[in-house]
Amino acid sequence: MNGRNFYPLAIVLSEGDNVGKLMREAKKERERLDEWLSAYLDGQLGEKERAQLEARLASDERLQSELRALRRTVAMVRDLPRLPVPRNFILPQTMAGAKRPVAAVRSRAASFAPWLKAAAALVGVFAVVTFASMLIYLAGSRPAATPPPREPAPVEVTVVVERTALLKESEAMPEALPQATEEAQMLLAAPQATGAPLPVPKVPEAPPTVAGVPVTLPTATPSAREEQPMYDTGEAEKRFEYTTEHETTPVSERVSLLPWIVVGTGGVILALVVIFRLRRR
Amino acid sequence: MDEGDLIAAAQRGSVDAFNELVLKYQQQVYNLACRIIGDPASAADATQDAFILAYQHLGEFRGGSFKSYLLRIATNRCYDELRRRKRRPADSFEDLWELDEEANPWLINGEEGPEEKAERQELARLIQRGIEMLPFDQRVILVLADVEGMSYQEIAEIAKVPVGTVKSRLARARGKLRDFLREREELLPARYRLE
Repeated sequence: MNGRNFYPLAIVLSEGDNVGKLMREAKKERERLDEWLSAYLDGQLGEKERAQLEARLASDERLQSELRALRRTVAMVRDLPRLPVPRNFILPQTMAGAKRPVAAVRSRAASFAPWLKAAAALVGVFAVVTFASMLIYLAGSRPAATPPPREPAPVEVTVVVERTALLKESEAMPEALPQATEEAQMLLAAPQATGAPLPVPKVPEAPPTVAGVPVTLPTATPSAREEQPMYDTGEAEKRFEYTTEHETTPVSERVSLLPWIVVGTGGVILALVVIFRLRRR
Repeated sequence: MDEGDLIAAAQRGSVDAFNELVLKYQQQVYNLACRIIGDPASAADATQDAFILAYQHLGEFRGGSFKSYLLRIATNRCYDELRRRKRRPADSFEDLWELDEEANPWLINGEEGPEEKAERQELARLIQRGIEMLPFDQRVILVLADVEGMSYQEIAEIAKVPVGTVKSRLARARGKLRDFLREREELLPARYRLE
C-alpha cells in the first residue's frame, strides 16, 4: 500500500460524469482492494500495510463486510472434499523399454505451432521473392561492359521554357535557349556519353514496382510526371519533359539495395530457424 | 527408499521406483485435474497422461521439487484437455459430485442428517461451477492455493510466474468467486451465506 489511502467503495455520481469511465475506475479500485484483502487473509502483507489496513477496517463497515465475504469464500473452497482416485495410475512394466514419444510435453505455445509454421513459411517465401527481385533489378539496371546496340526508340521531346521573374531581368536569356536545345539533343543521342558526365534529369528515387518486380513505366502525360529542373544556369530554369517507351535508371540514381538484401537474408534465416525449432519440438 | 532415491532409480529405468512416486502423488494430481477440468473421466485420462509424460521426461528433471515438476505437467495436460473439449463441446460429463457412498465411505458423516448432506453436496456443486467459470490461469492458481493448500512460492514454481503474479491472480480469482456466490446467495444454504 505504501501510504496509499483506500478509496470508498461507493462512488457518488454528479451530473455530466462519464459513467463508463467511473465504472472502470471503480472496478480497478475494487480489484486493488481485493488484492490487499486477499494478501491480508494469507498473512502476506508487510507490517506497515497490515497496520494501515486494520486501522481502516476498524472504521469502515463496508470494508469489513468485503473481508468477511472473502474469508467465507476461501473457507468454502478449502472445505471442498478431497476426491478419491477411481483407480491406481501406476505404469505398466512395458514402459521401461518404451521410446520417447515424438510429441513431448506440450505447452500452450505448441498449439500455435501450425500457425507459426505457416507464418514462417510465408516470411521465408516473401524474403526469397524480395531478395531475388532485388538481384534481378540490380542485374537489369547495371551497365553492360559492351553496350548492346540500341534500337532507336520513338521519342517525343518537348522543350518548355519557363520565364521567371529572374529571367525577365536577365539579358542572357535569349542565348540560353539554343544551348538548352543543343544539350537536350545530346542527351537523346547518347544519354550515357563518354567524357564528362552530363547532367541528368532527376527522376523519382524509387522505381515503381509490383510485388517487388520493377515495371516499365507507361508513357506518362506531362501532367502526371513530376517536373524536375534539368540544370541551373543561374539565369533561367528550363524544364525538359520527355517520354520514352523504355526507361532505365542511371547508375548514379540507383536506389541503395543493401537494406533490401539485409532484410531478405534476415527473413530467410529467421524462417529457417523457426521451422527448425518447431520440428525439433 | 526416500524420494530422491526413488527418482534416481526411476531415471535409471526402474518403473517400480516410479510407481512408488505415482502412488504417493496420484490423489493430488487427480484432484487437481478434477477441479480444473470438472469432469472425472477426462481428469482420469489427464492424470494418466501426466504420469506417463513425467516418466518419459524424467531425464530432464534436474532436482528441486518433484511435486512441482509433476503438477506442472498435469496442469499443461489439463489445459490441452480443456482446449480439446472446447473444439468438441458435444462431450457429456458426469456429475463430479454424484459420488457413491458405498465406494467412498469417507463421504458418510454419521453426525450429518440427510438434509445437511444434501446441502453440502449442493454447495460443492455451486463452488465447482464458480471455479469452472474462472479463466484458466486464475483457476489453476486458486485450485493450487485453496484446494491443494500450496504456498505462493510453490505455485510460482509450478506455474512459472513470479510470486507477485500469483498474488494478483489469486486475489482476482477469489474476488470473482465471491461475487459469483453472492449473486447466487439464495442457492447457498443458510449457514453458508456470505453476508
